[in-house]
Amino acid sequence: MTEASSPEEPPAAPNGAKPFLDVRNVVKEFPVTHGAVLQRRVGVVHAVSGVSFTVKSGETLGLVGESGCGKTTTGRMIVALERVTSGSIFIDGEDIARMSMRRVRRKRRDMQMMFQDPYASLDPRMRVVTILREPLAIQGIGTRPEQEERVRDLLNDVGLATSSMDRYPHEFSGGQRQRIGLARALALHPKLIVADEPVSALDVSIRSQILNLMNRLQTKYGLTYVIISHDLSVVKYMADRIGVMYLGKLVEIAGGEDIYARPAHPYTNGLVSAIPIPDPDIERHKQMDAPKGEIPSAINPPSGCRFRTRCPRAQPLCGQVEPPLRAFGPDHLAACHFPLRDPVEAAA
Amino acid sequence: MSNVLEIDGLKMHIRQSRVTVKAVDGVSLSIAPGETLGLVGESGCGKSMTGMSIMKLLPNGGHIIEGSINLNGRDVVPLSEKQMRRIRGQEVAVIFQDPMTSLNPTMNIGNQLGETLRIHREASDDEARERAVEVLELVGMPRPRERLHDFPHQLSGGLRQRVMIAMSLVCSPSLLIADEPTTALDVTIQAQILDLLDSLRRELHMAVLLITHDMGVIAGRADRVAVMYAGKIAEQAETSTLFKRMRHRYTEALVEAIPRLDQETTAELYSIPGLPPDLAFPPKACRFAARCRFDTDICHQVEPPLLEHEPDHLYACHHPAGVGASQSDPLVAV
Repeated sequence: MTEASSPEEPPAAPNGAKPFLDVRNVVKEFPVTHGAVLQRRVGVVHAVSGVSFTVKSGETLGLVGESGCGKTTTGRMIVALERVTSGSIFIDGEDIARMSMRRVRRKRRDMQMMFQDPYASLDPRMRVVTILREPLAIQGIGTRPEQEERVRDLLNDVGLATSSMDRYPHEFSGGQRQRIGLARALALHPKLIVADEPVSALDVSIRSQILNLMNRLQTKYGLTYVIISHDLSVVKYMADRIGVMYLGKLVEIAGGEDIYARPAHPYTNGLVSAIPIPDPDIERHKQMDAPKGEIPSAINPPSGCRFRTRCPRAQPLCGQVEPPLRAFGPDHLAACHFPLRDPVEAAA
Repeated sequence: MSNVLEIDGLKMHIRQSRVTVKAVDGVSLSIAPGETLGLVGESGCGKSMTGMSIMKLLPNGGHIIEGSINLNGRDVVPLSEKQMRRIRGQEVAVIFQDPMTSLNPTMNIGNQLGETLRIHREASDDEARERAVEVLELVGMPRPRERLHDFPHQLSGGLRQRVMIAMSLVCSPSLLIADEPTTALDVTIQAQILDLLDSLRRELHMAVLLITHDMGVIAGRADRVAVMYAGKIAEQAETSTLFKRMRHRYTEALVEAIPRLDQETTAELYSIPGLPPDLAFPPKACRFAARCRFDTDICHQVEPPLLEHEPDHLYACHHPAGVGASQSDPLVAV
């Protein structure tokens, strides 16, 4: 577990600390079937193709990329809502990819998910108290009065009145519903929360309320976060490190400031330049390197580097050899044959 | 040069079973040919309803109860549905957020594009097809002639939005309403579509009403901006003026609440407390007062009028940002 076993393995976690979450060479493929009865297998969607990264305890990792890059699938595999095709996911030293569903269910206390759409992820026929008690009831934690006491604490944590307990989800606004979603994720005292587009469905004025709340609760409970979003600005505000995914591959991973100021991968650079900044002086004079065209199909991904079909720097080599992740500074990796900056020589 | 669009004191209320929602409550706007006006605000602030009022495509129970909407010099408010049908598409066209729900899934691209022409211009099938290819080329559709036979589900989100834009251009309208045109798209595709809208506006000298919640999109694409809150315009100015000297406390709070990619964010983001008001019972005085950091008694008692306090800069705030205790004298009442 201490030795790197794959060429795509990132170097050991910084500061020698053992990572809380260690994702190793994870692959997820979905079969494409044809016909309703016989379900002939006609192809495979390569949703995630060998992704590795680590997250320290109490750290926030952001995963960004365009739709179809595999960021959501990666997040779902971390909480075992999706089982891996191959690879390992160590959470607190235990590989959940090798666990039986029975053991996974117990392990779920440690890792919870927060979903994008607070309208679709709460049962409209359940009162808030039932929604928040459910995880406790399933895991058999506490008596009913104890569970209700816990629900009161949770509502207090996420800034909702205790009187909310007897109300239904439709009586709440989008932001309040997302608070309920966060309370549900917190119910079992998890160590890790995977938040998939936690604020994308919310208005700007409500967004910062939820983001600040997530930050406060992280400090209070020492939570580890994986935040998945297409919005690089949101991710940069929240995350210590950011991983950029493209068509099932992790193409670059680095500290938030580093990825914005010194991107090595042309895709990262393009993605950053495409994000509108609310300042006309900057927005109108910045150089736009947004990638041309659209993300190719994950059924037949391009050979070699998957970004080469949209890359302004692509050469014949990019179609032949898949670029490995190389170091571009402390805690900064990128997978590109012709990067925007020189890689540093690999330290021993 | 006369304006393509001039809205004056527009009120559009929606009657529901028990209450009346004052969705648009006294909005005045104008757009010159070749100009992009950004209309920005949060969900339910009335920005889309303002756009739909121009098209007179109102929700059930929706009525324009006051004001005028002059389109190329003619007030469309008194026009009948039959007369409006001639104007839609010809003089004003709209593109929506979600191209999949706005395109007909059972019709191929060529027929959908041609339909507009056959209705408005009584064009023949051949003419319609040629014009369809022409507009698809204009919106940067790769291999336009082959695409005529494609159905919407065969296209990606970005290409579908290009088809929507092509449809809106078929009859060369003088005003294009783009209602959250890129919200459903990835940022990389968003940049492509916004570039396209910009170049079309320049080439065709169209007026564009760009409705969005994204201050970043506004900063890069709008010539002038109107910020809406709770059915009213809170602030309106030329884009660089608005961002450099924002006066209304809502505009200020909205921009402060956005995490910015180009700034290190070590301090906590400002978050606007509470929720926007219920437009069935809007506050009598300043509509933002209940959520404002700078509210005083007057904000809850007297509605601040939208005035041109500085040249070409209108705002409705009792305690504007960056203006000392002594308020500048309003130049003109609007």
